[in-house]
Amino acid sequence: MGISFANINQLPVPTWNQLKINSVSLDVAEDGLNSYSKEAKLTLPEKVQADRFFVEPESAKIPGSMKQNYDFVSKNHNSVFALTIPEGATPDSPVIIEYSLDKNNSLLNDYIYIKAEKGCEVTVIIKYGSNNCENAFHCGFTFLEAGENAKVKLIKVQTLSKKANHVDAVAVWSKDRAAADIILNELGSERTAASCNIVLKGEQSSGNLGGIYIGKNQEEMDLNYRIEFAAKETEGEITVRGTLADSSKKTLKSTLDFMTGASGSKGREEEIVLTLSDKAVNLSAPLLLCGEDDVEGRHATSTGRPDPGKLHYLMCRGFDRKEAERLLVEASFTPLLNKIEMPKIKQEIKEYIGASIHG
Amino acid sequence: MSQTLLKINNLYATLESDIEIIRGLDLNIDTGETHVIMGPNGAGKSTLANVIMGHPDYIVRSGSICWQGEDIVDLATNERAKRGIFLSFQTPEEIDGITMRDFLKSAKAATDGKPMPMLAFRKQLEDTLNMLQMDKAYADRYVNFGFSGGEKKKSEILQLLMMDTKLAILDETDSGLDVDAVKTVREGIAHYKNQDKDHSLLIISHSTKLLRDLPVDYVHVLVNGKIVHTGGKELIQKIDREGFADFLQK
Amino acid sequence: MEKKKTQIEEFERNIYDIYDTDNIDYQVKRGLTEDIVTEISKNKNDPEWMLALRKKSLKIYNETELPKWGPSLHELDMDNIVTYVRPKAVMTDDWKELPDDIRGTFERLGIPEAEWKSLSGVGAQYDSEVVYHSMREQLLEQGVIYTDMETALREYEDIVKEYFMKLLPATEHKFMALHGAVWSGGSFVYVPEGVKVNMPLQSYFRLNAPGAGQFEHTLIICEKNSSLHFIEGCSAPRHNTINLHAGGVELYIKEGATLRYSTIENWSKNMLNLNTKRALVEKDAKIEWVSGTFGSHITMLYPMSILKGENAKSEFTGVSFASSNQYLDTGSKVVHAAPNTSSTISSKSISKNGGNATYRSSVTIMPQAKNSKCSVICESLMLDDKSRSDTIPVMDVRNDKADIGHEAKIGRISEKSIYYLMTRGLSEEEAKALIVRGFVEPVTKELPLEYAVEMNRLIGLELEGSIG
Repeated sequence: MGISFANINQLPVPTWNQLKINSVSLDVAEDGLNSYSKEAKLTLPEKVQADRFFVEPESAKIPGSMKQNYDFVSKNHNSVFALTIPEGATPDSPVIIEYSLDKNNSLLNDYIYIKAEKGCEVTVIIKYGSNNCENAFHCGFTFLEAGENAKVKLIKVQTLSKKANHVDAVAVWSKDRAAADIILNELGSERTAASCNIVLKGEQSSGNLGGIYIGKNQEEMDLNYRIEFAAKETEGEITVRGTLADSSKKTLKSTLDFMTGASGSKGREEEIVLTLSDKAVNLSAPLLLCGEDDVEGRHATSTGRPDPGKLHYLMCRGFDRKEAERLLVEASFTPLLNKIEMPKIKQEIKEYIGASIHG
Repeated sequence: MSQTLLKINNLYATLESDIEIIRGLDLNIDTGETHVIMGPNGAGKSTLANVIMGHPDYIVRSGSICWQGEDIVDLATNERAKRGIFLSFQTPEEIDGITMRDFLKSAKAATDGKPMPMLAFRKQLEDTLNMLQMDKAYADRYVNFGFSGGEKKKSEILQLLMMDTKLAILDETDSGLDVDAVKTVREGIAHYKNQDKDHSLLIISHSTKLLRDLPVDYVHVLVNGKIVHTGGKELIQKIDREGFADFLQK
Repeated sequence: MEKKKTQIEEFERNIYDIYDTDNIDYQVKRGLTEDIVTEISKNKNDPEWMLALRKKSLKIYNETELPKWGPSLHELDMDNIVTYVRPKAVMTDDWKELPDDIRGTFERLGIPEAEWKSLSGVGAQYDSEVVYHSMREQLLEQGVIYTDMETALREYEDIVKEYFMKLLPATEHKFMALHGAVWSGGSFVYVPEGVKVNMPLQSYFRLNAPGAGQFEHTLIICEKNSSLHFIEGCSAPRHNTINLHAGGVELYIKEGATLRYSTIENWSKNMLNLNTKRALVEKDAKIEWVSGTFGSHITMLYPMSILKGENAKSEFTGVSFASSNQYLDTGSKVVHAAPNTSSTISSKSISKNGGNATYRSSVTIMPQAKNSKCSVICESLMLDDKSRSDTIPVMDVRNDKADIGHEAKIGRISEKSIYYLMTRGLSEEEAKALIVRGFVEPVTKELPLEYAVEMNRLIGLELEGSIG
């Protein structure tokens, strides 16, 4: 038996087939994988309700590009959360869901439904880590609905083992004046196909999508990020910072999609990649799709080695080349890491990055 | 007892291409000494600083650079820094995303080979900031990022004092130092000399304003990649009055 | 006064739309079969190898699918396309010898006048055949060859055989295969080592017959340290049936040579323009693409530069203007295949009245292309909310010593700018036209004066339609 995903992470508008960027397929052997049967570690602040049943979102709110992911998880889930943050609630600490995969719990299909009701303010952190298991598989679907005036921060940290396969989808639906801040840290696993789709359905809603990735060894990552501007005066930003070492390969598709009628909307996307190896492969497709004239969309990408002047400066202060490179990598992640207010989690991520770059 | 710290012997160095910039240079710096290098534009002054520090764009073709008896020509830049050579840059790099505090802490750990105890580090940083009359907030700004010219100068002096420096090379090639910057550098030098009388200095400068009240042991005139004349502090006034014409003819 | 100006422009527009009737000497049947391909080949007295190439291309055409990306090509019915139309004219180097209506067409388009004023040589194709070709004496003496492809195939068969469809093989895509099967006409240019051609050469392609296809092949070889500016112009009168243009342009730029290839395309809005252009750029050589796309119903056009030699350079400057019922899918492709190569892409698009402008590109940095640089700047202007503008760039970077920058911007003309100009006495439309002209200035400034003027006039025409 195997798990198979065919042509997922589709580029919203296809282009030349030869570029091999239109979609990705993934086949995983199920042999030796054991279903995740232990409890996820849940940290639940007061005022937040956590149920353990499957809540289906309205089908219109599941993006077409994620249908396969959704169908897979709805059929095969072995861990489910339905979080409700009631109207006006402002819990003073984050909701934390931690999955730790190990030899006996190496196959995780999680479904997390988050309903942030009107005017609430909440941070949700979901961690996928692994402990003592080479081979692992994770497929996740997270649905977040941000109600009117709600402020939601969703942080995902993936540090799965180096032989793991990771297929993840985050769908966000924002109502009037809601603000969603999504920070996705793709730090581990051998093969990653991760996607995030934010629909700014409510007027004056905003969505920020921050992505951090590290590629090392033979790792392959396919990231598909999209913000849909579907109402007046919405604002959205995709900010991605990444590092590629060894023979790793990364494909980032990032799309700002301005629908007709989204007048007064503004979007920005930016990717900065540091490459630390001449064998790394770096593909980027930053799309700007636009059916409305009264919008502002911008994109900027840069890719290259760490700046030699900066490296020299750091080496003059006593850092060896690797450390200097690591510092510059960390520096490039800082603006995104600063959005994570929990010092402990921020430190964990920094240490993981440090270890990855040194390793 | 003073000892030889840096000894440069018949050094030839080129930029990546074959343009020779240093052509047969000799220089000897002992502990506790202050040397000044002056020279016309393009004489190779900044190059000398970069070659001593091992900048990857410069290649040493022949000759030697010895640090306390050890030839350091093949050492990586950071290894030279570890031995106590500190280069204060004329235009320091801006590194967005790393705070001064983290940077200094890591740099000290890298040069000392072990992390400094948290409290001791914090105290040293606060004391040094105080000494330089710098606001504590500097420590949490990104390295030189968005700093004014004067702030960058202060940042370099702060680093000089925080690190375990034996020889400070101050690259002040541009005479464009304003009054405040001159004051910062001058005070910084005084603090540095106060730390230890064995601390040595190599100042590359045009600015006689900067050098006026400093105790200087040797002044070298660098022309065409070679030291053509060495004298005492009186040479500064002479150059101030007459420029380099005398030396160029030789 | 304003009204009068509009009338003049409307009248001028007609020069593109005048359709000459009854000047067809001979044409093949509609559709695409091996018999038709053989008939074309026989008609043109092809050598054996060319007939073989045509047949092989046809086979590839039949085996290849339509592209799965880009604008929909469902309106194209090859069974209805006449792939070869020979006009009633014999090729000449004297305009006077052409039949009146054909000469009249080119005169209205200003070709003989431009030739006299500012060009080194001119080729003019009418439907499937080149009817006029001429070059200044001085270039002939320097060994420059500028002729139609048919003549080239007869007189310089060895050179043609060495280069023809080597850069653009029939396997490239369905329409390149089609081109290989039925190509006819086009220009051949050979610039010998060290020769700098001062004034541009121009080929003009006019497709007159309704329901016909034009498949001209342009082959340019610039030997070491030579330089050339080549201009390509295209237009057609408007018909109610679909016309097809699937030309091929192959440019070989040898060590140290420079070629500028400028195109002003103003096909009528029943045209499917599926053109393919590619340059092979060797050591220290340079290609400069200047591309203005105004006409056609659908355009799919992405001039490609292969930077094969060290230090090779490519510059692409493009502008497209999509109006109602137009799908202009344009951009550029660059492959960096050697160290120290550099490329820039600067693309601007304007869409209005329901027009669809797509910028599509790919930049590939191969592992061996160390220290390569690429900079892409792409701006799109939307003039209303009925239109669409999409930007689909891909970058594939396979070494760490490359410096890649990409910037894109999408939006509309700022109201502040319009207001500012209106306080200075301009009408809203004049203000818009002025701003749009400023927007496309990077392209106009790369063109010889006459063409810059023509382009500005085209923009004037396009904008005029959007009033109200």
